Amino acid sequence: MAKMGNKLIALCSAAIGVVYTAGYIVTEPSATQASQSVSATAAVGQERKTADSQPSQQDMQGEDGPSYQQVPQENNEPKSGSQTQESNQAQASTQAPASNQTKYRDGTFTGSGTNRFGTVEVAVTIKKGEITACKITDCSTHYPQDYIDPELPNEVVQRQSEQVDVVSGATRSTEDFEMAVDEALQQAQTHA
Amino acid sequence: MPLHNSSKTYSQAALYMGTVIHIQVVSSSSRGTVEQSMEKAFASFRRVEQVCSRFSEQSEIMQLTRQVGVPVQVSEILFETVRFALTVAELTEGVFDPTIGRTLERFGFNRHYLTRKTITSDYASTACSYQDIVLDESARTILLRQPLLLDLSAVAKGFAIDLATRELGQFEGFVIDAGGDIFAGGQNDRQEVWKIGLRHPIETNTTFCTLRISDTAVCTSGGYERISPIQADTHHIIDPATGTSPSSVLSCTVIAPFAMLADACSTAAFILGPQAGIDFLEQNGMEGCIVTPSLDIHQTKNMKRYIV
Repeated sequence: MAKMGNKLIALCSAAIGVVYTAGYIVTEPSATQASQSVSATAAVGQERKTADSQPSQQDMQGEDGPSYQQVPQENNEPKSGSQTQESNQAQASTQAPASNQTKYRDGTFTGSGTNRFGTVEVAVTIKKGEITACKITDCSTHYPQDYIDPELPNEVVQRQSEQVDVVSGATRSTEDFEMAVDEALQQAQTHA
Repeated sequence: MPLHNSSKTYSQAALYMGTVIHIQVVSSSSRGTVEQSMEKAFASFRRVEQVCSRFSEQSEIMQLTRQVGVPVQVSEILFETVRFALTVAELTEGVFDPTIGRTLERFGFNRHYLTRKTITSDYASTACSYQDIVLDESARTILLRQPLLLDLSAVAKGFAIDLATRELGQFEGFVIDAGGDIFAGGQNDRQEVWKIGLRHPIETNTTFCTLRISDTAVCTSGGYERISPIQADTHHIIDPATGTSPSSVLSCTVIAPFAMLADACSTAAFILGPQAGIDFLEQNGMEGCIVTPSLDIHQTKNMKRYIV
């Protein structure tokens, strides 16, 4: 029914609007704002409350607070100590292992590797010990460019007379980048 | 004769949410302007991953998982993605069900894509469903009535795409390709509507169909990419009723105004199967097609409007 279709569309539209209205703002990593509220990780920690939390605090702080921005930290100290709180909070209520991940140094580390398509290079950025970005810096072989194949031996055949701009398919895994990512993370673990 | 002689195509790719996110922008704006917007677009993926990743203990969703039986106040991103997942779950009467996480984990879908660290839930799992999740819209809380593992992979990536499109709408054209889930806006560098190929589910280096798309999302669910390391005939899409992957569909593509909608419904239609899946799409105002193991293509009535 058209009615449900419209409802679904309205829900999507509203969801995006809500996230933006709540102040989901991201600045470039190179922009440093002195008067920042909280970083993403700390924000999540602050929002993690149990039943007695005040709903009105939701919009005042955290990732959805009006002043939320992705802030690059010049040093490794958490902004308000809430990151530490968050870790303790998480550990207190769970059986998860105490050390949640390997210690990574902050910075950007490059790595290269080979896969079935050739060589790829990545740049992994670590902030406050967490991986925040993994850019593909050598773009030439990150996914196959062979969109045209005239010889398909089955019913699903449509001769492609024009090249396509992009291909939709099942979610591609990142295994083609594993070697490059491993190399970058390796560097992030060892000391200079 | 091109209208914008100074239009250039900018292209960047990064790994987020377990896949390759490739963004292309066609614009005559300055490189700085384009790159700044692309950075914000990528930040949408980073942010949604931070909230919704099942593979990171510190993600908001995994922290939610560790608080059973109490309403937990959550971010807007988490609330809205869960809300949408529940809406589709209700609509399909549980055929689509985001509480499938524990099953996915058991089939070996439990590694962080960058660190490759394994995450394991240690609670004794009992039968659970989307009905075990209670949302309070005014308080913005989520309550899990029993221990369960939420998997938002059919919703979160689409939502990240939709958020990212907001950053790129100012340009003449752009494509966000999140590992095969696509939103194409405006026109390509030849001032044409974008041409999207649909990946052949068996000869995966080829395409079986080409679509003309502008300002629309195209999402494909398929069983040929992420296969379970535990059980060979199982992939990432699992039918909650059987606990295994459907065998009647190889690939399902949905075209819809929003990527979150196309993303969730391609998974739902995949599980529903060739007839019911197409009916589901038509009933809910979307176009799409399903490829079966015998390589028959079932498509919605108006899908042909998009086909080149």
